Amino acid sequence: MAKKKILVVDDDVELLSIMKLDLAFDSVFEVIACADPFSALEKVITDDIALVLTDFHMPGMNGGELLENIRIKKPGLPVFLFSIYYDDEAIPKHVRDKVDAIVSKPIEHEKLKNLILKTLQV
Amino acid sequence: MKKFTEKDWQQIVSTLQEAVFVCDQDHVIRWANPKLTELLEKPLKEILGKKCFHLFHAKEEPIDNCPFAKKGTKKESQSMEIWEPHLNRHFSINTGCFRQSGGKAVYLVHAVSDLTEAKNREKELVVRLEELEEINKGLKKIEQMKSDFVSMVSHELRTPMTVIKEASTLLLTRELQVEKQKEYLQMIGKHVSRLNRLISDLLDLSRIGTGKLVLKQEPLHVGRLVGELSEIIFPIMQEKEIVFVQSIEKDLPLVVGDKERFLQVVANLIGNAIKFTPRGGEITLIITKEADEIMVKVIDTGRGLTPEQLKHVFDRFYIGDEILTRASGGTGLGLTIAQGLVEVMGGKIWGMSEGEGKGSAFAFSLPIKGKI
Repeated sequence: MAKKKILVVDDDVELLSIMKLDLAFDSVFEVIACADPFSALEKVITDDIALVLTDFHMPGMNGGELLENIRIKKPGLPVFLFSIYYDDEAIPKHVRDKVDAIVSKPIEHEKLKNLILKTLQV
Repeated sequence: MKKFTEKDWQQIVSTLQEAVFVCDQDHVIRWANPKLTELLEKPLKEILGKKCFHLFHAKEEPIDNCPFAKKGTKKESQSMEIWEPHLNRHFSINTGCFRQSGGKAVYLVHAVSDLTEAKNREKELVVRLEELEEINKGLKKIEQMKSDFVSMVSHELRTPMTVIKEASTLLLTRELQVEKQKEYLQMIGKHVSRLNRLISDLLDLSRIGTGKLVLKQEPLHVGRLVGELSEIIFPIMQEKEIVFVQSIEKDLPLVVGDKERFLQVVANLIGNAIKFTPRGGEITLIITKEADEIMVKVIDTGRGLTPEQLKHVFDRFYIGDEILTRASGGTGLGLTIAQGLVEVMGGKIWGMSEGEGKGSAFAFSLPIKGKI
């Protein structure tokens, strides 16, 4: 059976490389890393993505806007948002209401992995 | 009970704090108590027989709200407050109508209180209140700035800490190839340096803000000093393929000052230029003597600044483009510190740009005779 594809979006390339390496380590998922939210949206449309993990603070299109676009293009696709500012004020309520999960940075990797597995029912 | 005599009445009226005077229907002052002489600073003989509108209002005819202004007025009493510019006084005048028993003669009895002092105090209070409101606004602004500052500092701390935490977790929990391990250790080292820079910058800001910055006094060859920065600047410029042009005036005068702090300002300005200049761009450093000042100017061919950005460019953590600052690894405090240091040195610093995409220039001037 083909591995489920996880799309990780973060403009911080160092964190992106760490997350890609970590999430792909157990070979449970295929991890696609993307530093640009616009390219990420393209991948959501063209690739068979099972889940999106995106940063909130990004240039041009923030995580909330990316989420809105994903909801239009691929309704039902699970989207997790991670942010350094994991508090109620930093992420607007309308974004918090629509997102499947909010993950704070630094990430607790095992917790995140279990959450992804549960969401994807792997 | 003994009836009061006319003399008694005169004495009673004389004890009043108010100035009291009586006018007839022709506005002629017929009687006044001594307080009125104090109020008008005139002897009684210059008051009695005079028209009240002459003395009180400096007018040639009765004022509009005088109860005897129009013939046949039946108003029995009235109160008014009036500012008399020719006397520079503010009065409260209570007027009542007095009819002599059996006679037809009607008089107006005026009781005048001088409100000038009270009004001045009132004005003073209004000014104080406005001042307090301004102070309050300022305090609220400071509170907001403090809150923003704490928020920005925690963000700037968390960003490198996140990378350190993530990379160290990977190194501890995963069996990585040596090359990968090296890559992540370098990543950790880079972000530890960034945290160190941030802490140094914060300490500098604090020292500048509290006036605790101590400057050394040593003779400086400003033109030659800049060469000491090349070790730090050139590798970064080479990496970004930036052309560095220097134009340093010959025979610059020797100045007395703090070498490290002078270099820190120049490094901050050049660092800022590198940050916002794209690959293949150009940075020019010009040092000249202008009258009794040394002028240092750093010009770049970077993305430039809008007039709005120019207004805030020296603000703490001012981020025209958050993402660019993050990518460049700056703490967002370089220009603020440069401004603080230049001001402590007795100089001035400013930024210039013709707009977005048109590059920018930052310059500072330092007095030759002052301390650097």
